Amino acid sequence: MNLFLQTMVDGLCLGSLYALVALGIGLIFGMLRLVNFAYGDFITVGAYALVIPSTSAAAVMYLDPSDAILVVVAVCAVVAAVALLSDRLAFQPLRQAKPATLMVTSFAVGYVIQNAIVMLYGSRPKAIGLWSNLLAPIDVGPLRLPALQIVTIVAAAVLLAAITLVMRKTRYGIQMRAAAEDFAMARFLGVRAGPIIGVAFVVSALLAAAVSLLVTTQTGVLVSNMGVNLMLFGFVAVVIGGIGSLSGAVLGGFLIGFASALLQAYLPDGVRVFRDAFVFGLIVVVLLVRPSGLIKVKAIQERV
Amino acid sequence: MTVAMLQPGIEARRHHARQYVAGLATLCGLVALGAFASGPMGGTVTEMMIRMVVVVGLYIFVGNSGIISFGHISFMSIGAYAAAWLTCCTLPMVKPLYLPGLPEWLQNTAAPFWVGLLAAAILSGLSAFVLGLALMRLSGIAASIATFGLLAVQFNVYTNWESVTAGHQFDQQHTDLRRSLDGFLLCGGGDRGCSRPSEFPVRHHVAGRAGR
Repeated sequence: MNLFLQTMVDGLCLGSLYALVALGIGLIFGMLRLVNFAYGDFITVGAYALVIPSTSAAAVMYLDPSDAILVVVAVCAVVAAVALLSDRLAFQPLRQAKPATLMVTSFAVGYVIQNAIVMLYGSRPKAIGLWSNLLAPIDVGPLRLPALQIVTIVAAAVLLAAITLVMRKTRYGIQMRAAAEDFAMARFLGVRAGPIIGVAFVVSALLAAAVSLLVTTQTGVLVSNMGVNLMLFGFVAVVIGGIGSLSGAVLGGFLIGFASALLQAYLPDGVRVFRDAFVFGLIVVVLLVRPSGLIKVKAIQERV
Repeated sequence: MTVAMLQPGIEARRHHARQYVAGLATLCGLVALGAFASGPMGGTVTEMMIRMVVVVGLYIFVGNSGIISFGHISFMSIGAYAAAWLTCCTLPMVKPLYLPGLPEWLQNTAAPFWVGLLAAAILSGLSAFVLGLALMRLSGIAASIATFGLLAVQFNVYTNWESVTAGHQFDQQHTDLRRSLDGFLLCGGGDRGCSRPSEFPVRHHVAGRAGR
């Protein structure tokens, strides 16, 4: 029973991370049809933004990590700046381009960011002690959980609730939702494209910053490609959730998180290393059964 | 008024013939360079040719279907391992040491290169056929993601099936997931990025006319 509960908490925690990533990717994808493969590198930038550039193996931070609010604000600002800059330099000239062209561009942007990081910080992994006191386990009922898991789940819940609120109640949120469902129609109805794309990039950058702080705290290591796997899982979550649907992206993220945690806990020993094969096998099956994802959006469906 | 303008067909055909001859000559030169040059040059040229074969393979699928396939690189991996299982490690000791999970008859086999090449083509072709039957019911981005799922499954299985693939013992650089994903980039990202070969004559024809 305890194993099951623990597994569910693990799944919720992993799912929260994937859901945040999926939301960040899904927001941009719904609006611009941009499959942003550079998103993982936004996450990496967030983590490296904490550290003074050097090639040494131990990381020296700019800011005192005990001043949490300042750290969070600084990381958010850096990631938002990188996201807006990459949009301005790489994606904005291609607004009329085909999705495949945008995808290749985002690959290139990701490479530029990753290699810039390697140039500034060296390619060796760096140890970093960010809020490592959060890793100490605390007792919650019958379970002993690292405080970080609870922080992750709470942070994700707060962010998701805040974004839901922004999306439903504020002017920009409603415009973003309209643009994500049908950009052309939203523009006809008076949504200004430039600002709303900027807002979407900033929101997705904030999500990337949150993910990078949570992941860096958990792993305690900076690697130049640390965001790539998260991005891949997030992207897959977007697709199985239903492209263009933000709640679908979140749902997909949680599904993949739970599937990974359950398989990790309950696969027999010799088979456990093949966990990702099972996860992706399941994803292929889901796609074969529901090609347009779990939650369908009318405007996105491809007309045959 | 030139002769070429009166006979655009002949001029265009000559132009193509020249292009094909130039292309063929370059290719022959490169093959010779790859075969005879020693050191890094030979290696670079050989690698370039391998990539070119990959691109042609990708193009045949991506260019004609419009589906961006992330998964095609996994067929390359399937073929490579098929070849390695048959041809690798001529010494009687090495193969059972590294790949103890292989069936008995394979452990004692060290086939010549061409057998490995044939087996690679057959095994990857067969698996592509079987998987294609299932996956190609999908279209658009769902199909792309399904092929990515395939890549992830194949990558994970081959990396961790130690006794048969020695996954972790080989250079990790060559079994990096992102690296395999990059494969599709070689193709320029889909049919809209590449020009179809059939378009080339048309375009030259049009360009030739407009130029005069």
